[in-house]
Amino acid sequence: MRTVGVVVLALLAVVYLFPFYWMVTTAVRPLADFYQFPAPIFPSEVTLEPFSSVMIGRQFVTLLRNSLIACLGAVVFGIAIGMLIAYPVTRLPVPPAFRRGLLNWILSLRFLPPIVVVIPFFDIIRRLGLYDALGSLVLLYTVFSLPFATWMLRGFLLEVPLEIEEAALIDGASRLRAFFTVLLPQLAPALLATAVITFALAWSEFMFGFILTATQRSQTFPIGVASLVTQFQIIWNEMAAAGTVAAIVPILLLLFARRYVVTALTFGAVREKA
Amino acid sequence: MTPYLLVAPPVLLLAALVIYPLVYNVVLSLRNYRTGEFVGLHNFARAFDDPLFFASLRATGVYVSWALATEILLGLALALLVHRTIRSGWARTLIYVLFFIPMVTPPVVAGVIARLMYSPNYGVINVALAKLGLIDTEILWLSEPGTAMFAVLSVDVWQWMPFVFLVCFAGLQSVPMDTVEAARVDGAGGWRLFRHVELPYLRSLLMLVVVFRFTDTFRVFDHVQVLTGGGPGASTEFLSLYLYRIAFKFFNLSYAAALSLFVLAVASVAFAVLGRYLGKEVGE
Amino acid sequence: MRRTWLVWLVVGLLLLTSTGLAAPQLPPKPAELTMAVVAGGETKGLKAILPIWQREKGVRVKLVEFPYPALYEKLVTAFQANAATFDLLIADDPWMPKFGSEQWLVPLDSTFGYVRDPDIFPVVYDLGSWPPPRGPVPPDERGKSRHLYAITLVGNVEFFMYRKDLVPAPASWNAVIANAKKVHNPSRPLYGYVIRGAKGNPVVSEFTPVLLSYGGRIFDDNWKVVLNSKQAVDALTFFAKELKRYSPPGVANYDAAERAREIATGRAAQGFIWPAEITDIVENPSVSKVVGKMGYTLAPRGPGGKHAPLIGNWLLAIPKGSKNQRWAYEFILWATSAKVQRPYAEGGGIPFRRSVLLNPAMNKKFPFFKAMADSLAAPPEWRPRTDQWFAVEAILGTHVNAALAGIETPQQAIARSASEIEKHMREAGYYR
Repeated sequence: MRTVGVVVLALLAVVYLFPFYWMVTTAVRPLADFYQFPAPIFPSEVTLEPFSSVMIGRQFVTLLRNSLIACLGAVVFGIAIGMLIAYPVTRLPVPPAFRRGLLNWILSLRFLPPIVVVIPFFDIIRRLGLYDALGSLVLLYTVFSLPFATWMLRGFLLEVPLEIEEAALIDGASRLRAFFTVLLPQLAPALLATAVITFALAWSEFMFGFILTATQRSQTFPIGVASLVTQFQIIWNEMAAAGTVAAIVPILLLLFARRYVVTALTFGAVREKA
Repeated sequence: MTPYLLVAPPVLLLAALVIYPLVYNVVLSLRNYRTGEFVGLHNFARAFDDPLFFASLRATGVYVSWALATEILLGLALALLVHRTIRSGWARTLIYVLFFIPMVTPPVVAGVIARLMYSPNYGVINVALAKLGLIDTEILWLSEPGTAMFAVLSVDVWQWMPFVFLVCFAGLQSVPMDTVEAARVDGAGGWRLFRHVELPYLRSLLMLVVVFRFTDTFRVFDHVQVLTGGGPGASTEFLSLYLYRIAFKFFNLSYAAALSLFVLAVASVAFAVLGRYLGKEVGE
Repeated sequence: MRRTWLVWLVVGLLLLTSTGLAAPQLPPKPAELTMAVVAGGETKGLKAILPIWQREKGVRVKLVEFPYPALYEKLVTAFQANAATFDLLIADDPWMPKFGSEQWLVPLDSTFGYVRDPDIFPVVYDLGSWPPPRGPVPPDERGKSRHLYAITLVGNVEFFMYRKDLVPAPASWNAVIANAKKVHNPSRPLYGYVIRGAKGNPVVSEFTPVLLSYGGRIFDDNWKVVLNSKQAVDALTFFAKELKRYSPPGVANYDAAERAREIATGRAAQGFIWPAEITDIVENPSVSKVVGKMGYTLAPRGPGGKHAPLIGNWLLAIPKGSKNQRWAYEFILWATSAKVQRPYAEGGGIPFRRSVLLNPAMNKKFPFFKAMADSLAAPPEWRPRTDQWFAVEAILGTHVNAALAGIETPQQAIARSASEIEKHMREAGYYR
């Protein structure tokens, strides 16, 4: 039974890794490899030129910076606002109907298909003077990360016993102080995990980035990657190089916060029933 | 009063960001997009007479159901497999990272890599299948309706089955050991253990996963755009691609708004259905 | 005596005015000119000549690059605000109807007295004029007086390529099929033809020259949709059955990248081509196995006897919001002059002047220049002059692609395209 399991897993791993292998090797191939039939499985020669050409030659470092700013901004605001919603409904006395209604409504935000709201948002953004500015992306990525962030925070908050805070309150601390000195330290790993997942989900966003930005001043990484599909040519190797860079950033984050991420993914939904 | 005071500012902001687009779309949809004159329900009536819109609705339905079914079944099975067979900590870490990779690859890149791999004549998939003796003529992955749908689905499954896996796996780990042991003592084997002990724990999580995967597959856009562009014909032209075309190629913002409201209605119905179950499961 | 006096007066006046024309008073030099351009290979030649301009005139030209779809949208946004963001721009020629009817550009003839140059193909001037001098004119534009708003910078035109080591130059579609029959051998593999058949713009660029050469049209002179005709069905049948038979499997999802790969690896013998693909791939020795083996010629003629290459120029123009219009005009004159077109071409640009395209030395270096000159003289066909073209292209591009993939019959594809295009044009106010 176990050996069968391991074999199945190994096979699946191969299937799963193969496209990734193809991406990374595509990124180190010279252009000539794309003009052979069939595509050689191994690169005919390994070159790092696509990386330098796309990151420095095409100034994709700027886009990387933009992506980092937009996603980190969304993470910070998403968690702060998510906390503003999750904290009261889990720690303060509210009617259950209110709690359920609010949480469900937040979740329903995720049901708004971007294509439905992109034109009105474009209009708002233009009126605010945020067209082609990173601020607009921070705003929208925050909004779209809220369902996830709120639900995760809610799960974590439910896990922290109410008594911990109450003890502090009895000692004469204000609720605000109790929140910052008692609850928040308890939640630190959870916040980290929520941050990583929120970040990873905002990282690949395409449609808003595509429509609300115009220049490298504010374009995010995926938009730059898409621009390598030009009218007459696809710059395969540089595109794959950019894709590899794009995947590495969140992977590093995951390695850094892996233990907490796995817990975060249960949304607290399981433990609460246990 | 405090809970309401804390909740109010973000909720009002969010409400504004939801209501404004709604009103905006309603206003647009009742007017002619060039002249601005009031045309009543003309744009809605037009949708009923638009075969391409229904084609895109159908294609989206096919896509969402296949993607959801495959991702959930595969993800759950994989989670069980890993949970039961892999014990060592580092091996589990390796598996997380491995399956995290597809999730964080930008869909546009995933689409282009898939286009390289699926390409007939050149692509590695046909070459591999031929070498294994499974095919003797080229499969035209991207230029026949059925296989093109398979190709765009496969990218989605590659990217997002891991999400289901990671969530389910995390859920399985949080099933209390004593409950599992007790069931074991009662003689529960693999399937019964899953059906009667683990699944009840996972149910609410699976509901959430269904919600997130539904919303994401319903809005699919990026990788399809580079992989098939909606072709061949209109066979992979999903709702968001079709709406994109109406809004940004035809510049018919009024018709796009009318269709948007349709899409929103579909999304609301789906949410109402899913939300009810979810409310039962998670809402205490 | 009196007569002599009059003659002298006239001569004097002529001299005065001509010197006035020859050395116009230029306003003081601006610090720099800002130019909106598309990101990609189209600006290779431009980047090669900018240092020369700066050396000669002492005015910097700053390029702001946008990806293709963003450029159009960015320009429209700037124009609507009448902003002084840009002094110059390059525009894809199907954008001219929108820019022309909104009168966003500075007319070059009435403002600066531009004089036409016989070395430049008339089609270039036709393309830069609004309302269009031939073909149907959009209903709201009919009464307007015609001006020249833009001059070509990138002389893109679609023409035909063939393996000159294997087959003779085909002048007609029958010859193309004969050539294909002669060399087609899928087991080698060598395909007789290759189609860039992907949905949307790619397949429409491939099909339009076939359609027109068969005598089919999308619109008549009053924008009535006349696509649903025997000629159009014949053209599509030929395209989706006959040409496809000699093409590699799966061309219904081929874009330029895939087509160029088939040609460059020597697996396909004939097909359409745009200049940018030749310099980047087909004649690029680092990736291509067919360098020197390709012949280039005019798009084949159809049963109607007509050659119908497709034009796709990038045009230089000055937005009305610019504060440095006079110097921007100076740049256009300079960049399109015969003197500058040579370094422009040698730097990788696509030239458009007769004297450069027909120059024997240049043809040695760029073997496709002659075919380009022939195509520009044909004259090439343009996309119908309407700001609704992108919608028409999206509709036609879906159904022609479906026919190529075998999902729709040619009859169905043509009939559906025609009725959807008509529905769209009605909505856009073309019929009253």
